[in-house]
Amino acid sequence: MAQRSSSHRPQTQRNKPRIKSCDFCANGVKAIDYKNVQALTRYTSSYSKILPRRKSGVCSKHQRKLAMAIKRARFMALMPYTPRA
Amino acid sequence: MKHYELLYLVTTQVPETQLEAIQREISDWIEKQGGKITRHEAWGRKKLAYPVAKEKFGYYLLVEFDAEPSTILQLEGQLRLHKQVLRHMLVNKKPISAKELLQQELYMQRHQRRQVEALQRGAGADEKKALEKKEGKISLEELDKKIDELLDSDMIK
Repeated sequence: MAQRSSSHRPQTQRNKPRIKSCDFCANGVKAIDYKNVQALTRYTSSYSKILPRRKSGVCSKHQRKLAMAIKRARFMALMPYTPRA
Repeated sequence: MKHYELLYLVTTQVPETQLEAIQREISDWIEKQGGKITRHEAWGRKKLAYPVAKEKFGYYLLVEFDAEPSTILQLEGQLRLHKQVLRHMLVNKKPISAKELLQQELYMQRHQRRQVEALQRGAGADEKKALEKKEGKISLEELDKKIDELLDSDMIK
């Protein structure tokens, strides 16, 4: 087995790191701006899909707002629907 | 009266000199309906994430205004008919207080810092350590530059 960095204990597929809390809640974000593409791309996959909550750790309230913002940004051609071929 | 924010996309087929005319046209509509414009912003020519009406670039213009909700439908209709406006997004917006704005900025800063930390923890950590040993402490300005570069390359993917 390849040696990992000493500070981390080896993680199996089932023992994935737990996500602590919603980033937006922790920072008191009320409205998510659809024009801030840089922040939104963080919550999309490499296939430009919106990340599920289990991956991003966002709470349901903010996930709804986030999804709305990403969809708005897509419509305005600020963000892609699909990655460039 | 409600607060609205309108972002619209203008074709690059109109010359940049005519852009102001379109902007004035739309703000005139708003004002004619008794609206009050509070903010104007021109983002300039930007590359689109995907081609719209066979255009790869577009001008983005932003207007924030207060208006009666009953006039909004008419404005939407006019925007839809406008030949040079490819897309528009008209949304309700709560005017944010200075305190909230500050909070958002802080959030963005923290977010960036975390990204940098994650990068440093990643594959580049060993390299960086070796570098630091060689050069001793790198000046803050250099570090900032490096961070910018890393962030840029991350953005492009």
